Amino acid sequence: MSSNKIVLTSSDGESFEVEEVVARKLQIVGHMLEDDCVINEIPLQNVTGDILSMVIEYCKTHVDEEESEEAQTKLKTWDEEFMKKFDIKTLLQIILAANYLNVKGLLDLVSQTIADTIKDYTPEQIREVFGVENDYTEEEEAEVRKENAWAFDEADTPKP
Amino acid sequence: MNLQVEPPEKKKTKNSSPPQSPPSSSSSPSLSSLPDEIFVNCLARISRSYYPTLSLVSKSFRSILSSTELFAARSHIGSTEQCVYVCLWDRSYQFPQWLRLWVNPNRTLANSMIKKRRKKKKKTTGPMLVPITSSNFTSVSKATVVVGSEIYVIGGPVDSEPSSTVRVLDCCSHTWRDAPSMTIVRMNALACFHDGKIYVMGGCQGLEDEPWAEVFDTKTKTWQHLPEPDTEVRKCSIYSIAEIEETIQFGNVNETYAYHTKQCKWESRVKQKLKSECMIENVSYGYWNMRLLWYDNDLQKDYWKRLEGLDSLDEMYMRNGGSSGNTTKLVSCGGKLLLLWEGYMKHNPNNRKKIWCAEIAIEKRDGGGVWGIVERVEVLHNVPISCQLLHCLVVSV
Repeated sequence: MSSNKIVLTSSDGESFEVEEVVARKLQIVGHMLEDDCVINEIPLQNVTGDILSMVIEYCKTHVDEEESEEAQTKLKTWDEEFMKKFDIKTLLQIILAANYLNVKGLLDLVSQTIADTIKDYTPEQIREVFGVENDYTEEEEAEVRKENAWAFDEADTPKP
Repeated sequence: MNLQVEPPEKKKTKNSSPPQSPPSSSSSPSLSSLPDEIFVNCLARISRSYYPTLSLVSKSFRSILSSTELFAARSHIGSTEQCVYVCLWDRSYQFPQWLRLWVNPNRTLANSMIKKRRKKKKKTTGPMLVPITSSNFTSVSKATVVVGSEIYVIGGPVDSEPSSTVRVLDCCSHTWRDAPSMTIVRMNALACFHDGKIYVMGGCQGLEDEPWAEVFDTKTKTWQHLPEPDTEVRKCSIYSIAEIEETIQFGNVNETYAYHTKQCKWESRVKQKLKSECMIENVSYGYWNMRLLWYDNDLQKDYWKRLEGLDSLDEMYMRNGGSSGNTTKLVSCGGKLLLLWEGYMKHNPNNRKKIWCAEIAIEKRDGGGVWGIVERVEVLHNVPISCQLLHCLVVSV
């Protein structure tokens, strides 16, 4: 394993020194390293220090992708615990960072976590928790509700 | 190392928190401010049975949930689900009715598991058949095949006349489109999909030079005639068709014939294996003579055996109007067997009958036996007594 260290710097000027193998989990860094091997400090403009530190935590844990079932189960448990630490707002920031830094595993993990959260919420809760604006007019919403009337109990109709 | 900032362990409870303060800075993104690709990727991971509820959130939710990108993402991620589609036909209908089986996703969740969810009505809705847009194609053809996430309905009878028309139902968008017509009109042909091609056999009008069978290449979108079989095959009556080991096998109770797709050759009197209606983990299942049978394809020379543990289902089937004279369909969906039947009752003041469905889990037990565990038996739909359960197809969407 290479012991070469890379310094990653966030948009707000925070620096993280990590092993090259860890840094390479960020594919954006991986590509830069391939283009020019002598880089040892990489500025990452679209991610803040607090979010970057979490991405790095994920990458450190996932640095050796062991095939064994035991290792996979352990990682899965770690992933679940890791996701529990964050509120929705942070999850949305992590997903943007994972997308920008191109960490596929993390992107999938957060997407799944968000999906699992959304599915048990009512439309009103989703709007509230995820900051989604309801751009339906009352009539339009009633129309959509009517289209799929079979799917709703009365209990789901919004209270006046 | 410069790690003076520890990841903040925010533990605010989602529901008690006020909505995010105005999305002022880029540091508080909302779900809809995510790039489309990521947003699609999240929604694609959610079971389709939640989509009606999710569509209510906002216009962008609704438009993404019915977009081709979403369904592409589902197949890319591997989150596609098997959905059951049913076609019903009755003289009183203007067109054959296509419906899909919808299972209320909240039904399986204990109320206590959903925080802050308003108290559910006592009556929770079970699985039901939900109508989708009808095609204005009145074909009640048996030649109906599933190709990817689409259903092809091929040829006649259309108002009791043969037809060459092919209509396709896209099970993602629930819209219909035309596919190129067959080279001749057919009525009561049978069709089978294998390796990118739809094989259509029989249903001819007895004219000279009429190709008995033709094949549609779903890639090139063209029809081609198959080589002509001999008279025995041409005259056979086909009741079933299936692809088995790269041959298209078809025939009736007494005779099975085959078309070898690689050698492009016909064969008569092949060993009959046609009972299979569906397969789970290389075990074939069939419903014959009011018996659920299975056959292990991994064993050489296996034979059809009864599925154990279904006495109560047999009884329920008979008590609720199932009989060998009524249509009964067996499909596999999500690793389970679904048995659908028309529950015809002699005593019937309303002239209605019910479409029943039994969901059966499979358990292989030591010693080689396969047991069926009936998880639920329910009425899916109520139809006029003369209504026919034409098709029951499973599509991955």
